[in-house]
Amino acid sequence: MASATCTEPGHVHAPAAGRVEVDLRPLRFLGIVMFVGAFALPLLPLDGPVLCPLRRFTGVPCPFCGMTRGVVALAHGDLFSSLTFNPGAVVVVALVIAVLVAWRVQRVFLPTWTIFSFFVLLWAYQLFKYTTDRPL
Amino acid sequence: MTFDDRITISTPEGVDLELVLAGLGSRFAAALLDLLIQFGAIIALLFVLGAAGDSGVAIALFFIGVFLILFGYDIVLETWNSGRTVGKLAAGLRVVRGGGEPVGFLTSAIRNVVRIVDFLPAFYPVGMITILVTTRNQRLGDLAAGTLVIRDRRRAPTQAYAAVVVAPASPPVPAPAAPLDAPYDAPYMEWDVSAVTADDTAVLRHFLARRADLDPGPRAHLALDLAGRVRSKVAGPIDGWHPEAFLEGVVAAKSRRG
Repeated sequence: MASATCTEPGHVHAPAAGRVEVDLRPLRFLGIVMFVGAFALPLLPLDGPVLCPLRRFTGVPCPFCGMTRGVVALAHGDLFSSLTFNPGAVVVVALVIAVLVAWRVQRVFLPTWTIFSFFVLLWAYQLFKYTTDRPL
Repeated sequence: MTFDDRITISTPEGVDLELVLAGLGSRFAAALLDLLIQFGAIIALLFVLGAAGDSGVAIALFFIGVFLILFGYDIVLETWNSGRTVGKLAAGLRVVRGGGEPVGFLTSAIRNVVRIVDFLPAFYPVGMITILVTTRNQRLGDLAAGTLVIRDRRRAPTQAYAAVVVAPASPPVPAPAAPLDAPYDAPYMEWDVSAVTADDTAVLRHFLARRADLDPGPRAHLALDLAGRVRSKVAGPIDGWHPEAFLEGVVAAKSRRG
């Protein structure tokens, strides 16, 4: 009943429990901005100030620390340092490329747990580096 | 066609509930105001405990206080103020569960603990991206708790009544052309109510019968809503009617003509 009544854009129906409906259009836009930034950043005369307030004030890294450096490194073909900075960078770049290649897909459904495990795994890796005194 | 993100929920009663999802801007404004209030409370706490000296107890109390302000504030207000913190109230927002039900303690607690992740690395970039990217405008906390933030601006009843459904009065209600007899005297007897269904009439009767028990605000909203729905089904000189008078007229006209 509900699905038949509503084909209007901007109208959303609840996805099945435990799933998120992801709109790929803003993601595509953010991805393009990220790639432009990845190539432009090394040209700018700034030498990595620590932007993350968690790391800046407590020294503890957040799940996203090293993401910028990771994406920049990968954009310049340096897979190894990208992985050591933040393995999430490789995942994010791969996802953005996938989203840009599949240009005509507008929405996908993801199980909610995938998103949360992504954050948990990233943070676990960062805290492993932190507790073992590896460079963050 | 609308530019708002809307979501339709089918309730077990067979009624489709339409909610307007809150956007990034209003949520940002709400979060900013809430954060300012929390920050103010922390500074106040600092002054109060600063007067008590820097004993271990004072420092422990300070950290407990900061924890309660950062998490308790959102959870308490969302649980006991129908999903609205001060910031959300000011921005006209409300937190509800995925099915439109009010949030309880546990749901609110989950979404506000996951707020830490949304806040990373500084002032909600993660939350902003997930709000932009998910079609139901949910940040990670909302995904974990299964909640939505919806727009919920309540207009004052007086305003609602001022905006009379049936367009501002151009001419006052004209007298009926040829009244047949005394009961048919009323102007609404001129209206063509044939498009109004028996179900519509039953709903209107139900409202008119129990309107005296309603508070002024909900009563005005309901009258306005019903009048808005029925208005397009009624043909005739109906401009400038008060919503409730209009509804009475429709029911009366309907019952006269069977």
